[in-house]
Amino acid sequence: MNQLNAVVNHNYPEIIRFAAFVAIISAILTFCTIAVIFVNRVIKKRRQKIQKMADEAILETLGERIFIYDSVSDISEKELSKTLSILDVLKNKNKIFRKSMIRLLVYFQTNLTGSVGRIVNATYSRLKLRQFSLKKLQSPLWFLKTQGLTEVQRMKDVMSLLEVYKLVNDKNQDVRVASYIALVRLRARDCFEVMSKEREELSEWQQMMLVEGIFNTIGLTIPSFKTFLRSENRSLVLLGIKLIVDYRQLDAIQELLAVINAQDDFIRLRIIEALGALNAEEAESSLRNRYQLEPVKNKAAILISLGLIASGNSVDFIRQKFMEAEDFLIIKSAAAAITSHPPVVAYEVKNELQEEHAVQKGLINHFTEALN
Amino acid sequence: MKNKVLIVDHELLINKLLESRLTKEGFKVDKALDGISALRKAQLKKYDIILADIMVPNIAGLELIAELKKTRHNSETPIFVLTALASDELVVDVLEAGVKDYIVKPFSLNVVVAKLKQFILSDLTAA
Amino acid sequence: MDTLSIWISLIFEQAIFYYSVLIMFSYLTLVILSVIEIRKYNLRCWYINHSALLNSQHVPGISVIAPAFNESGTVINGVHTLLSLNYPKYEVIIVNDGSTDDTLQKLIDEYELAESSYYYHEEIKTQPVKGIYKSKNPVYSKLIVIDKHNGKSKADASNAGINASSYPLFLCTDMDCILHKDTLIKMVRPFVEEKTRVIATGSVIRISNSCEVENGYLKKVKVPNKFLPLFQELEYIRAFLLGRMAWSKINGLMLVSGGIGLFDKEVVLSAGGYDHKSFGEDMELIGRMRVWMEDHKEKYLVTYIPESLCWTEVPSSLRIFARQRTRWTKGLAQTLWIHRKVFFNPKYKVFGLLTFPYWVFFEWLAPLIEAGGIIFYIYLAITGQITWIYALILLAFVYSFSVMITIMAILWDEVAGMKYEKKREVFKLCLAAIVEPFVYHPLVLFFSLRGNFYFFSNRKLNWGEMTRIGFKKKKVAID
Repeated sequence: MNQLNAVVNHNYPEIIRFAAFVAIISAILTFCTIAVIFVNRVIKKRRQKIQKMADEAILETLGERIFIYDSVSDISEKELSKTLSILDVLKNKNKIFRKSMIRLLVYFQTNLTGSVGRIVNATYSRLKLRQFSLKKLQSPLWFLKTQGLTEVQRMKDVMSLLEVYKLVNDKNQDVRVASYIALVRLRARDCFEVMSKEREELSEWQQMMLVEGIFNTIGLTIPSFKTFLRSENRSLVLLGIKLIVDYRQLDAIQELLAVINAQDDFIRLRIIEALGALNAEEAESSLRNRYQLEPVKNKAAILISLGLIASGNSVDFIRQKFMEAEDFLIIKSAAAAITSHPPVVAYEVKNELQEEHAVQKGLINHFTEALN
Repeated sequence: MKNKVLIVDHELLINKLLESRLTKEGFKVDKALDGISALRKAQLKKYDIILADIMVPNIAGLELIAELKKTRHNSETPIFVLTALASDELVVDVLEAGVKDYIVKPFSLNVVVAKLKQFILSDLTAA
Repeated sequence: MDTLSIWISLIFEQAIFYYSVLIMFSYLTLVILSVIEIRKYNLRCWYINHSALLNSQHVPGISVIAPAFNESGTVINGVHTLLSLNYPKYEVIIVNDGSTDDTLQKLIDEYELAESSYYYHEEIKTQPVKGIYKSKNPVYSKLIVIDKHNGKSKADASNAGINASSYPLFLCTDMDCILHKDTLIKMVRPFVEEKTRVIATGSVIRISNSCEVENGYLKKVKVPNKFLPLFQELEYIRAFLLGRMAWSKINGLMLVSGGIGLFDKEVVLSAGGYDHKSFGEDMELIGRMRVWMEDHKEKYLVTYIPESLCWTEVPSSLRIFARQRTRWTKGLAQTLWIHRKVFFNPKYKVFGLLTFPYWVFFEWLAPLIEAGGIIFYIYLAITGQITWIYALILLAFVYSFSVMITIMAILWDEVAGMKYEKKREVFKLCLAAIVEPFVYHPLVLFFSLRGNFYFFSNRKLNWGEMTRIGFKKKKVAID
């Protein structure tokens, strides 16, 4: 005790007093942290338990009363109201039950089509669960907004379109992208127009999410994506190229060739690859003409694309690069291009090879072997 | 005798959904949440139908189909694939691997049930 | 004599005190930075769904590279795990690094392999390749097995894998690691999500010693039972969740462990691949990639994922543990020496001004200073110059602070995703954290001194010599 007094009464040097102070604070914090760890565990376990109960109760009701119908007409209004009142009681039990119900209904709606899907949807709107999704859209937190957008879009809640439109100018880019996807999923007529106004660069990831969203929406009116190619936002150009390839929009080939000069190395690479994937025979000569101007990676891509087009018009060109190039990537790409022609081309090229062409020979073998 | 179905899906909810419906339709249902437990179940007893998602943990995809076909009791069991992966190449590969049918998620519960029932019926008449 | 001892006292009492305060301050900063980063990551994970991308053909392809040296027992299960990862576009490259057992034969039998005319282009120089095998069964078309002469290092085997890989990204792992099935889709996220070029991503490595494993898959995660693994688990949690996460926030990460790391192949090739002479090739590679990027004035990131995606077995015998730690320290000293030009070089920005000096002062130098301090204290005690109450207070100061940091790391781990089912397991970890400074830390200290001694004493003699042992390098910051 005396010693503690000594510390407090400034008898000790400053350093020691400071050390003692830190030691005491750390010890207190340590115990607090341990307490937090265990309290956190207990709370989480309890929540999980309630969650499990909620899931089971809701699943049982759904399984007994909704998933058994072959068509919407099978279910009588009386039956449905009865089911709804049971679910309503569950919904109002507490917050965890409500969240669980939203989650499950959204989940089944996403995974089920046909009449059961429609019944799930009807249940969702008649239980007035919509309003909770809408409330999330108005939240100031970005992650609640995106969650709300996902729910709206999965429940095909067209009534909420207006609310979705309010988020297309949100300052958080993730929210904006989620709202574009929601517009696509809800088949809003101007969804592509809205998206093409995005000013910030979209990450690869966001582009992929958009492509997936568009590709998986049935009954969407697909415009020609060549308008995207003239965008000032380079990520929208990249998005446009992906969509053009996925939808095989052959009418965009001329536009791709028209814009290629204005672009940076990376976008040109993507355009070259796209031309190959689209089998653009009309682009062959301009691809060959570009060859000298491009960096190595793009040169390799040109060869691969010529191989994919495989019209026969570029065989001599490819063969020349194959024999003369020094860069391994070029030789390898040329070999791939040769072997994606009919087998006779590879056979002829192989016969021409001399002793010193070990690399070329190896590569032709590599690409013609079935196991690879 | 009840027809025995093995449902393989890593998503618990889909598993439960299919189980509750198929039980109601008079099937006897076994469930597996991943490739390995599916194989273990398939090694132990004969099923009339296997309804499998092929995007499951551990053993998955074409490998799962191949392994299921290697099991002693179930080498002849028809496999219905129910999965979200739908690139043309994969669907073709899966069908070539010898599965009975390919159903894409999201799916219609009624269609799945109808397909299974139809198969059991045609199997009975064939035999 | 008098002035000298006054000087020594001054150095040890004042300088060391401020040094430790500085270390503590830096730890505190790391704690705060990492929790911000973990929270940000968690929110993005929960609210932005990645499953849509599992079907996308636009994802970048990944080559998974795993060297195998005498892994006859584990290779089949290991390859199975790798072949069933959840990702739409990847290949698995197993490099049989001149095994003397039947590793290769086992692979050939299980996966119906045949020698193929796969063209091997030696972009990075490696030991010669004897043959490349592919499966005759289309089910295993993702698998490529390279059979090469032993290069006496994981680096050489990994380089061969990189040479044979055909995708723009590669994941480096070990045969004795168990990967989470979503590893690839989660690790690739920074590469497609960041608008700046990402050159490498790491993730949390955990210890599988006491976990329940079945057919190469993790069934139940448990805290290790044995003495050494238990404390290593603590050390891993602390290093991975506090250290790495915080460093990645300020783009100062210097180490992506050999157990699990996803790399941009183009940058790795430009930097020259793994250095097969290095004792810490994983850290050395990141250092070299960073230097290359900075020298070419390109913007880049080295990122980190606060999720446990890889479980590995750690040494439980003192002998192997000692060897591993000695080698780590040696590797650390070696890497710092190789890249010494970065030290406080403003050209290298965060890397040169913050990360590198941090590693020099607080990772490499800390054990040396600590040892010096202990020796000085013993000297003081013998000569009777010690004020015991001060010594005790100082000890309590250091002790309680370090326990606090470790306990906070455990909390962060709970926040990032509860791995252990039972409360008891976490309690065990907390207890271990309380005794760690007295029972485990002295061992780590001793072995890192030994590593430094080896580094300084036979640096020139031993530069190229390296023996391969059972437990390969999965490095953790030593503190």
